[in-house]
Amino acid sequence: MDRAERIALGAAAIGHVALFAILSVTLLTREELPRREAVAVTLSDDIGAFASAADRPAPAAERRDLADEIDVMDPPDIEPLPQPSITPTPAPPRPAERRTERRPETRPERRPPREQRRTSRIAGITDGIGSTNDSGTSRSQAPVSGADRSNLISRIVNAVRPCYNLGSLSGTSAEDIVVRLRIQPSRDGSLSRSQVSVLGARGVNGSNRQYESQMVEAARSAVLNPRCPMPPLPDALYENGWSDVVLNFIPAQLT
Amino acid sequence: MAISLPTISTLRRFALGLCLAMLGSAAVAQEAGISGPIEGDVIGGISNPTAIAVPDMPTPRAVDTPAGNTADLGRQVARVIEDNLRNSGFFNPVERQFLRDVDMPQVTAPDYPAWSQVGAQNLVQGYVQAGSNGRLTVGCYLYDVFAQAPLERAGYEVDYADWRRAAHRCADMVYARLTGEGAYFDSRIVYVAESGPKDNRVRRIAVMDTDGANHRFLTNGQSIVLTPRFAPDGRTITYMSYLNDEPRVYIYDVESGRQRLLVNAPYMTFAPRYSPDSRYVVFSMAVNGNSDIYRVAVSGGQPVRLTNTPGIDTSASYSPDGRRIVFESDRSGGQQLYVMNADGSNQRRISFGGGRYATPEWSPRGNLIAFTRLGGGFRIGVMRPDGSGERILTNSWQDEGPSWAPNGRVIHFFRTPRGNALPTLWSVDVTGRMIRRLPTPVGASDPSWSPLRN
Repeated sequence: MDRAERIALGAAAIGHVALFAILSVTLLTREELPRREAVAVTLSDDIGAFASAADRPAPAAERRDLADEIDVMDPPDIEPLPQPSITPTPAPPRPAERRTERRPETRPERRPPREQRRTSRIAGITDGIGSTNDSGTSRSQAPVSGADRSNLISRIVNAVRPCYNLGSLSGTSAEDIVVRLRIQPSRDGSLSRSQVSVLGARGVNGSNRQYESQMVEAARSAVLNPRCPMPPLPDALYENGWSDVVLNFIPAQLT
Repeated sequence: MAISLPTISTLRRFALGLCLAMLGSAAVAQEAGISGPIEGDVIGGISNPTAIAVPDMPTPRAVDTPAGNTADLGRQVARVIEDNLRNSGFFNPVERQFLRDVDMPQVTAPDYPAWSQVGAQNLVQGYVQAGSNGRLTVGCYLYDVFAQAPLERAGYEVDYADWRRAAHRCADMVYARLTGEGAYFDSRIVYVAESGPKDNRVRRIAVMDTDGANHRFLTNGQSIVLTPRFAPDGRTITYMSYLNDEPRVYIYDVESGRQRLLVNAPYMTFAPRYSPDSRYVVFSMAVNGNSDIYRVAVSGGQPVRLTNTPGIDTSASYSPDGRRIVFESDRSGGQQLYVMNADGSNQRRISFGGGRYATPEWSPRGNLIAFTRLGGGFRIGVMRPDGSGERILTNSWQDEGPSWAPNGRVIHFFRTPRGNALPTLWSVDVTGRMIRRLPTPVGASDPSWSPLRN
């Protein structure tokens, strides 16, 4: 660590302490909680409440137990619907109503295993990143330079962006909502739901509050979509680099 | 707390300054290799239909019912859900050839990796079960495949004849949860069915489910009928008929199939619409060549005049809170849109975009008014109730007669091609995307969406 680094670190440390003290005082005067806390808790509650038994693929050996749970786990509330009012005659199943012709659709792409993909896509992708070590064998925790961090985030953003699908939210007031996600990928590049956390959402107002959950899920789906995996990144830059990433999902350029 | 406001203000300014200073030092620190999350912006999303899988629904026990075997019903319920979601334009169902068979245990414990492999982002599963009470139960489960998490579930119990409604309700649950919009699949459409040549066209009132199923004609076509409108409570339909060559507004009772005259007056009455509480009907009445807007109780009685200007005031439509009415009037020379209070006071023009404006309908959300814009063709558009934010949604030879879906996101209208061809029903998303034709057995005009069914 050279002199300049020591000065910078010292300044940062002193600044953090001072900022903490100042904000502690000023926050006492605030009446409302920071918006992002409410978002994270809301989403977590929504998902967590349903996550118990059905939150993982069921191995064949477990199927018998799960079959029992259909009765044991709380079944959905049954909503009785009233008697038919305009079409009293029973409508038998009408095969003719089935669509015999399906709209041509793209055959879902069957993805090769991650390692295979990484091998096939690696050529040229890591250009300019971590030129000092790209072998994937080193577990060095050497400092990652600003240039490397910038390159890493650029790679990650470019990988995620094609899967940031707004779908029905496009063109609505939902586009004013910016979602902030934190992802902490495994060293092998895999990413599961538990490695994604919602730091907050801003731009939520009375006209788009109904879309808040959907915007958060659109961002989360973007990073979890297997069509947009983490790009191959140098192992040497994992620690202090791409092991901890914050992404701001901005639907459109705000004016 | 004994801290004066100026002190806090000063502290905040200092804090801001310190933050800015910190940014600088952080940049220096980053260059020096400081740890912490790396951060970036994903700017600009794409807009594609969401890939969703709707496999056939299993049944715990295959039972013959008046609507068919529950195993068959499980397949058909899945098809109805799939079609609803596809037709909304926001979903792209995974092709059936890639769907897997689902057994009962898997309904609550999906094989996420397998569904991910076929490209599904979301998964709708469920079951169909014949109950001992002579009713059918449909369980409906929605999953996020990428997050490997359940999102929502619901169950619906229906008469066997109403099995399609259970499917619509399941699709509504999925649609509402994934889009943030209100539901609308479990609703109906009333419209004017048109057949025959242009100079001798037969017009009948017809009603059908939103997906075109359960189609039924309500009138026999002996009299010309126009502008049918569902009551917000779904129990009655009001419309104008030329019965006995006297154009009058009628009320049709959906349950009994009986119809009655709304106002017994020796004048032409037309363009009826219900108030949001279904207690009143606003309509136009032509008295001595001057048409004004009136309000009358659905049960009948003495009409109350709301407008009183020379010319034609017509196409009145209530705001969802019942406090205001939008209507069209040619009092300024050509048809334009006006808004007034529900008692007729405070009438003011809201359309100033050039050309003429007609057939306004207030959105059930209250935030927009849909209309037909005339001039260089007929087009469907929307504007805010104060007249701002006008957007034209369609571009064809003759699009007219907008009617909002119960969720205020989708608009139906009818399109008439050049020549003698029959008109057809279409829908458009309020963003102007996803224009789609609705299948009807014959020509179709003047659609009106029912409320969401109970």
